[in-house]
Amino acid sequence: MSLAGCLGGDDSDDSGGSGDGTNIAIVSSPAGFDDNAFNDLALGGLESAKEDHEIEINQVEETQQAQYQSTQSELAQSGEYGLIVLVSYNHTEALTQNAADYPDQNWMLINDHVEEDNVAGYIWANHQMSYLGGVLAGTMTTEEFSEGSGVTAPSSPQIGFVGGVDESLINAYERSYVAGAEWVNGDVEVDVGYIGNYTDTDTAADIASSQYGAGADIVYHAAAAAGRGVFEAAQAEGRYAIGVDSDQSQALPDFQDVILGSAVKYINEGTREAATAVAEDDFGSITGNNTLSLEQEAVDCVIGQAFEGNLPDAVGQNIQEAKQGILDGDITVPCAATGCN
Amino acid sequence: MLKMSFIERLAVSTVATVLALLVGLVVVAVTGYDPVVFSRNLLEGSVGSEAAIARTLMFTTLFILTGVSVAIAFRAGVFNIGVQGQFVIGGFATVLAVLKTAPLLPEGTIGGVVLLIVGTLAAIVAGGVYAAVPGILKAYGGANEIVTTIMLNFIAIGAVGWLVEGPFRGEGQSAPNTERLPEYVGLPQLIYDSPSFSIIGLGIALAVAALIAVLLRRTSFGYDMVTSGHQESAAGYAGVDAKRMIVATMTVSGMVAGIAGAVFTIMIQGYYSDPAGIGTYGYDAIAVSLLAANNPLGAIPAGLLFGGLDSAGSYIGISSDVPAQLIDGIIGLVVLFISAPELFRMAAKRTGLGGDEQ
Repeated sequence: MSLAGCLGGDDSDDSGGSGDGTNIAIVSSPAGFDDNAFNDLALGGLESAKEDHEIEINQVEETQQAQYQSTQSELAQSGEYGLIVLVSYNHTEALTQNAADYPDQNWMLINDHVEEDNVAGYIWANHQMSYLGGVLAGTMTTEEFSEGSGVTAPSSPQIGFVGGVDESLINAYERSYVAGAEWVNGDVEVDVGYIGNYTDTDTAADIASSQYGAGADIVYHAAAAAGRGVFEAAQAEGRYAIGVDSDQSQALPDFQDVILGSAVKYINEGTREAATAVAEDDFGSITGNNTLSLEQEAVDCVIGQAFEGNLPDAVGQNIQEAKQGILDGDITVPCAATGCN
Repeated sequence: MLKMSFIERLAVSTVATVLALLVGLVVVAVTGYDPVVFSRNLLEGSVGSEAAIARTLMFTTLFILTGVSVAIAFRAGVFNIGVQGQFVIGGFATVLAVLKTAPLLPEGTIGGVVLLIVGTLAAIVAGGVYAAVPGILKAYGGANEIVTTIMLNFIAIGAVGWLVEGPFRGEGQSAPNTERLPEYVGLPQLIYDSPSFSIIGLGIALAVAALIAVLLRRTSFGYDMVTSGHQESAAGYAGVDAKRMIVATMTVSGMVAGIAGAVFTIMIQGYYSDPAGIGTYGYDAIAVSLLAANNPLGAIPAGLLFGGLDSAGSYIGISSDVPAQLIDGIIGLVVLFISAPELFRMAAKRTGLGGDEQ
């Protein structure tokens, strides 16, 4: 009988991090996968970690926040996962309970943090990327430029900002953006408007139109889905806009003729780092609250795909200089990743 | 056909369900997955373990309550498509009432029980009032309740969404959630050790279904409701104020939806969040009620079927490669097989078009 021999081969039934393979589960935010944004980026990071390590990914799409409590606990209960990745702060409330209930389970929470030893919270330096967006706007507002569907008004240094909800988190985008623009040009004037939510594209377009009408030639938005209205206004007025979070000239190619650039955060950098840490049995190195910033090259300001190579040299130089200044500590970006006080 | 016997009705529902499952399995096979594995997943995910059973019963509880809510209105000839909105308003009212009352009461079991009652009453009142509005609009303004209730769903979801985003966001919360209910406000974990299910919640749902069945069948109020819906002139001749009955029907329907909201808040979530992400129990309830032939007691087995399918869907999403969306497809097929002819029949009856069984 060769029964014993058969058993010997794959008797490595130990769950979690150690052993040759790591199981990682990722639970979506209410937006679900295939969103071309958040969830896909998070998943992409895990997949890139797969290239260097033996990782099995279980993709769990759950669009109801009310189910996160039971989905999380079910995954944890199975004991199969070295890491459970939770996309977005919609998971926070459920995780405060489950992190305590399953102390041996490692969790990664994107965009928020829970104060437990087994949780790695990841947030991105929204203020730094917005500062770079401000540098882009502050540079371009005095340049003479008319590529794409817009044109600048170089005589007056005036730009705009459209925020979603007037709250601490978005105030950090605003103030850092203003600071970035002022770093380039002390005389710059910034019009600021808030929509009141993150979905109303019409109001976003109205606010942006009035800013363009008042003389702003570039408007940056921090309004999630509502930001589309800013791009619509830019096209209607023949001006420019700056996108947020991901390269919006790629995500919304209809507007690439007015999106000069985007302030981006690389969510995938975070999931890749966490997956790698777990695969290398080193989760302890990432527990607590992690802010991914310029230092990890996890935030940036990228030029829109229609304008790559077309913008004046000053843009690239200024952004590079600002980055270096932030890294060296010569530039202090106001606020913090999670907001302003 | 509307006057089918109970046995016939049961047979139709069972055949439709089995047929839907069979067609679903064909779809599974055609899309390249193993129908045998899928069937096993269905069973494991709905009744295969204690956790699965608890999850099934959790969904069942909500489906029974929302299904009964819809059934009341449909029985009385009023189309309350607004159960989702009433469910949301009720659930949010529970959170508000409990959070505002909690500081006035002693902590512990007694305070907890009082808060449970306060929270549930708040939900019943809020759900009832929110449903009475389209009832009044229909009775006295001639507004089509299908349109108004659908609109009021959006208003409820938008309004509560705004409230949890801003004014009622818990302190220090980066996510748009309200404060959590106090630890001692909750249903006890008997029999099933699940964070989101208590057998008491299911007991409440069964009791409500029974109560409504008695109300509709054994009381003069219920009799008036049903007759004024189906034979307005006869009811009027008998001295029933049909307009008032429409408002009463909507109110009672909304009150039950409010209870569903309270159970959701207390038993499942423990706080309130953006209602866009809390599930669509109020919409699914229309299918539950149709499957139950708008019979409050029929909502119990119908709710169990939907609960089992939803529960299997969660399990499949977590533990198998088969896309959980296939479960939604099967639910859709069940609804299609059972309710499409039913809907046409009801519409025909309402508009006076189509001749059978008048």
